[in-house]
Amino acid sequence: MMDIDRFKAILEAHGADPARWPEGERAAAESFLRTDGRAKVAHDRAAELDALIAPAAITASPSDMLTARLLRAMPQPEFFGDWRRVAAAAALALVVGLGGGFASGALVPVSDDEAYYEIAFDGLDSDVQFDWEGGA
Amino acid sequence: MSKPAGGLPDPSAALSDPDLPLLVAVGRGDRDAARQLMARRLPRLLAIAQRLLSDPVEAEDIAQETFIRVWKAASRWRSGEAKVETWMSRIAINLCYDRLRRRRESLTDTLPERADDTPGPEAALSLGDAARQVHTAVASLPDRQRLALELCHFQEMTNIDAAEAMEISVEALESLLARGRRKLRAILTGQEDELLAGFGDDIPASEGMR
Repeated sequence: MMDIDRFKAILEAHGADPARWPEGERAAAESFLRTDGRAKVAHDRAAELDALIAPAAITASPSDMLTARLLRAMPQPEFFGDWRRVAAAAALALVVGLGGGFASGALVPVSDDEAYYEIAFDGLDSDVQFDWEGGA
Repeated sequence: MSKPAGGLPDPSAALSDPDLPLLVAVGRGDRDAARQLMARRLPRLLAIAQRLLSDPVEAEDIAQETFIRVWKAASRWRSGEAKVETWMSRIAINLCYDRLRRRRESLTDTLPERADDTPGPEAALSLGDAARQVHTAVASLPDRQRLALELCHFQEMTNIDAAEAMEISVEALESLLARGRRKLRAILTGQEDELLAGFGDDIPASEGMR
């Protein structure tokens, strides 16, 4: 329940602007201000002080150097600090490697040994065939 | 409630926190998210540090140290209950308190007199007389009254968020605000006799702490 004592206490602590009043009491205090003549006097007095201290507001603008320093100070993402991510990356690499290996294996018609054998003896075979036919 | 080193809040408890997606992205190394988070929070952290330290250069140091801690902790976001803004503010505030403590220890070692509470170079360089007078008045407040005023009045944080950032109860925050504003009124309206009304001293460090 709002009364003049509590209303004055709110003004003394938070000033005259209802936006600064405690959220839970704001509606009751605003209603009290509208209906109680003593509240209006106290409110005006608090508003005077608000106006007096307003010039003390600090408007701080961070320098570009400060923001640049802070961006440089950002740590790198901790990817390798998490063993689950490392394990997931290794498993993915293994799957891709094995899958790629099997896929490319299907495109190779013969083994290396068979290829070498054919390269080595393909011409000889035709020569022998030719000579043999010629000889016949 | 489990928290990693640095006291990270819980994303599930801060679903409405607009900074949360940015922090999560920063944890993945997203530089655009880092830029956005800096655009949103860096000016406010600088203002908090300037308010407490009255020194723009030291304030930049504090903001830098705060964000470096945020970068390091972003990928380890776990559980908690504060908003990202509240958490970042708390880091900056604690860093400022450390500096203020070291300053006082240094002054105690070298100068027995009271520390000079006048505002730093930013006031002298860029403000008019009236504004400088107000800055001087605010700077004369005890640290925690000054900080409460910065968070609630100038940055318009909710009382709950500000109390959490300062690690005090909402009631203690309200008390700091009220005493700070009363002292400012007395200074700025020339009613110095109001200073005798009992609000000149900050509450003890243990009082009002959670």
